[in-house]
Amino acid sequence: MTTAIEAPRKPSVLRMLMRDVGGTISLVLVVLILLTALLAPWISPRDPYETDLLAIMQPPNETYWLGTDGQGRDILARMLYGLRVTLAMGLASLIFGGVIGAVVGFCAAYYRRADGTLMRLMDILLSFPAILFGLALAAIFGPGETSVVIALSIATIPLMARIVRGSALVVMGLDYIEAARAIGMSDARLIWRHLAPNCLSAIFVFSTLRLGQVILLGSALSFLGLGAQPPLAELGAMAAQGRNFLFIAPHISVIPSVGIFVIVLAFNLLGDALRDALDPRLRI
Amino acid sequence: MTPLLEIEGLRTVFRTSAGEVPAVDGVSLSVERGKTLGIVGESGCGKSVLSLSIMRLVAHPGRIAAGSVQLEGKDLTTLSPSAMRDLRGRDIAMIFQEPMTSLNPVHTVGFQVTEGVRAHEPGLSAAELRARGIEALRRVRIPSPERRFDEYPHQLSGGMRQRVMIAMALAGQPKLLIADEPTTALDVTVQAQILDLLRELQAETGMAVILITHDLGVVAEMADDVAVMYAGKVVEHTDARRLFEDPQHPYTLGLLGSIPRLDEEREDLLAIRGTVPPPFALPPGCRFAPRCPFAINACNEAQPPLLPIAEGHGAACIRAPVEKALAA
Repeated sequence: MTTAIEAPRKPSVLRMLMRDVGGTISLVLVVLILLTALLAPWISPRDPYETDLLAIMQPPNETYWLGTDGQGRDILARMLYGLRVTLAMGLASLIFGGVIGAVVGFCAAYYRRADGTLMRLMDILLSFPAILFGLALAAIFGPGETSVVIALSIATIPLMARIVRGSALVVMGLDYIEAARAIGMSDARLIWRHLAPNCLSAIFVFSTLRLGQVILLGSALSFLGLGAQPPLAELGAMAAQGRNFLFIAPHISVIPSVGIFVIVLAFNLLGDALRDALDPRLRI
Repeated sequence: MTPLLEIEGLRTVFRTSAGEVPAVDGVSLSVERGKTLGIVGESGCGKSVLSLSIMRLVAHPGRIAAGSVQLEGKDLTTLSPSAMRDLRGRDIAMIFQEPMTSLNPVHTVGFQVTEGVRAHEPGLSAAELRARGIEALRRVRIPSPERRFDEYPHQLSGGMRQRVMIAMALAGQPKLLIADEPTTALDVTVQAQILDLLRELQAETGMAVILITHDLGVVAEMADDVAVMYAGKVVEHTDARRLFEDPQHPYTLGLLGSIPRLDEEREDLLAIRGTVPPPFALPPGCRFAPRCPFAINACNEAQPPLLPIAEGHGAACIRAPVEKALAA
């Protein structure tokens, strides 16, 4: 036993992702989207709220690369800033809803007595469409980003709870959970140290996929006028503002819509690629 | 001197759609300090549930319905959950059958070995923890423990992992170690090494061991006392030598007859007919009666209690001692 034989290193998740064309493209896209949103104040050509009434509804040209909207605001600048709002709303809903959902899921899997009650509660939440939550919350708190985030968080809770419960139940059946109990570990510690790390891949995959959906839903709510309010730049709201000029200046609606499409597509593709890379059933 | 562990009339039931079914049904056993008690039986006889009951780790929908488990006079069945948690790993530790799944793949060996120490003695520095962990690995004869400390379970072989499991269990210096089929999943040569290790560690620390197994060879090698379990009950209880020389319960005889021997003319193994009755369809009388070659009508009427048939030798059979039954 002097020379130990090293087990082959597991390839990193990043490398597994890059093996797949869709994975590579989506990863590059997602990184680009995030960078663009982060750097918006520095790369934006002008102020997104500055109106120029002499240059309204201009199609894309040399000065305004993506044209101007009905009030002569630069669509490129509004896209860059709108991306931040859209992404922030999506991420906030995903984090709030995801964390609560994960806690519920872990508790349901760990405390089997509570399982039935908790999951029936989740089923009740699941039976309401997210748009309906948005409508109800906008009616209560008034339209705005907060209402959208709360609505989308609530809509995310049951989904995350089910995903986490499912993968935690599998882990619960493994001996190391029993072994950890047998050395006298507290429940909270056991869930945090042993259960959660082994469910992380499922959580990551679901979060990535869900982020795309949440962004789409958030834009839809803003489009309906329940989310971001004018003049705030937000992709869904921008698409809504171009509605009246659809026949004379289609780019005002089309460009933000394409933006939403690309973001959702990128996150969905990345989620799929992540699932392929992380799913142990596909890994040999 | 009172025994270290004394189990009295322990009954563990599981709630199912068919009502409550007993997995462990009125088991009374005791373990002396520094001794090894072997618990033998087929799959499904309740031996694993018995060990989980001692640790109070029986998962919902199972529960301990009756009886007591006394560790040094303290009744574990009535302790508060936090007191019980405190006691696990410190007074009683456990090792499991499957070393491949008993270690968490996302943490290093060192993290897991020191986990019990961290739980029971908070406030140790990282360097102290590391020293304790390496010492624990060294005690279970793991070569180059300093390097192994930082490795992940998938980098270790099965026998090595079982050593890590033992190191984990012993890190808290328990008075009682419950080993649930510790060698079943290992190669024969590795089995012998692990059993040797357990024996050496037992001699070093003076801990008592409950060894759960279906392997009579392991029992012969390791145990001082043996309890044979069948369908949730102890059917024979005696010391290891007497069990092999003078088995009294027909089930024990059957088990011994099922072992192939190398040193005798080959003849058909005396396999026990039938299978263990499921716990929701137990026969009314002696639970072994339907499979027993010695069964008489009276066997189906009442459950035979575990009665002493000699000093330090109990059997739950109305036909025991068997010699008499055979002569009749």
